[in-house]
Amino acid sequence: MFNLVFWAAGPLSRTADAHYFCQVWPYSQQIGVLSLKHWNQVSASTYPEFGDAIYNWNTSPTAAYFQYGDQYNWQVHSVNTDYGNTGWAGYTVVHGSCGSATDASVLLNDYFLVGYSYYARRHVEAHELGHALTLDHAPSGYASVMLASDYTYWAVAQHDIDDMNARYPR
Amino acid sequence: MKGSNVALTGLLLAFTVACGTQPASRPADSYTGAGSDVEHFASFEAAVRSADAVAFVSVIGSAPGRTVTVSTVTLPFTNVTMKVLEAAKGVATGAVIVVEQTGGATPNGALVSDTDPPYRTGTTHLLLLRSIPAGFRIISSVGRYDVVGGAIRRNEHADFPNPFVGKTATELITWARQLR
Repeated sequence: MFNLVFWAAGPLSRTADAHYFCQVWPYSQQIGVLSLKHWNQVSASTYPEFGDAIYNWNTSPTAAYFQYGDQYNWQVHSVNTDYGNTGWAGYTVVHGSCGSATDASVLLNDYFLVGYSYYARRHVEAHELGHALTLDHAPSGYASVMLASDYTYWAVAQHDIDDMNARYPR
Repeated sequence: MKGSNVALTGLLLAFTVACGTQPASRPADSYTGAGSDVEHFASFEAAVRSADAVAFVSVIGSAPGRTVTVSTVTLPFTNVTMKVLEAAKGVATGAVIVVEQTGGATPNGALVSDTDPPYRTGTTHLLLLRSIPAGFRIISSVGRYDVVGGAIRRNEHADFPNPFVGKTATELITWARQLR
């Protein structure tokens, strides 16, 4: 895996082992912000915390910013349905050749999520939005919303902020 | 933005791209997928105890499985056929099983799951499996251990150590049988 050497504040206080998808969003030097348009098909009545997860990323001290687009103008597309007993509650697909992301899809699996608590869904949704930003899973032992198998962290944590700022400097 | 920052940004991005996490063989037009596990385990033993089946398998082949389309987003699955070389529980040694995997061929390339990359025919794996109507799936991102040269490889997504990394699948299967 890709190792980027920088310091991260985590419970273990060690050099981070940052993991990213090979795709990366184009970086705009003019605005200094990674702007992702978002077409939300996820019902607010079904998953009201999805907007909270977006707000969480948008207000983090990173270049992450999701804004609502329309059906013809979007880069991140979120959908929900019953994908069956897949073993995952959320799944994100980033499209593009290595080095250039073109669009992403955030898939929420009703098979599991419908029975989840608010905070469990918040974890899944913030986690998947992190994938849409091309962050991969965080190594175990860190306080991170990007842990694959630990729902303890339901909000963007310092480790996630450090990873984002390393990949998309502001 | 100051010039030095621009230069640093360009250097960092170039480095990031050059050192991407995916194999060099991935299609030029491709998809990377990753998800949130439903099942969480505190230890390798807990994962083994929880699994419906624990088996050392050899991949026979794979075929496109179901697809789920919502709006313009189609998610492919792959059905991987495997022969059970040794089993601790849930399946019989010598049986042929089907493991459903998220990801697979797309009209424009391939969707590769970061935690469960495509299986190749002839490779061997130690799998912790959950029964599903289609056959099995791995229990989570910690359910797959590749076996290379007879030795179990580390699963980098596991939140706990696997005491059998570097050992043989037979050693792990023998231990797992005693857990029942």
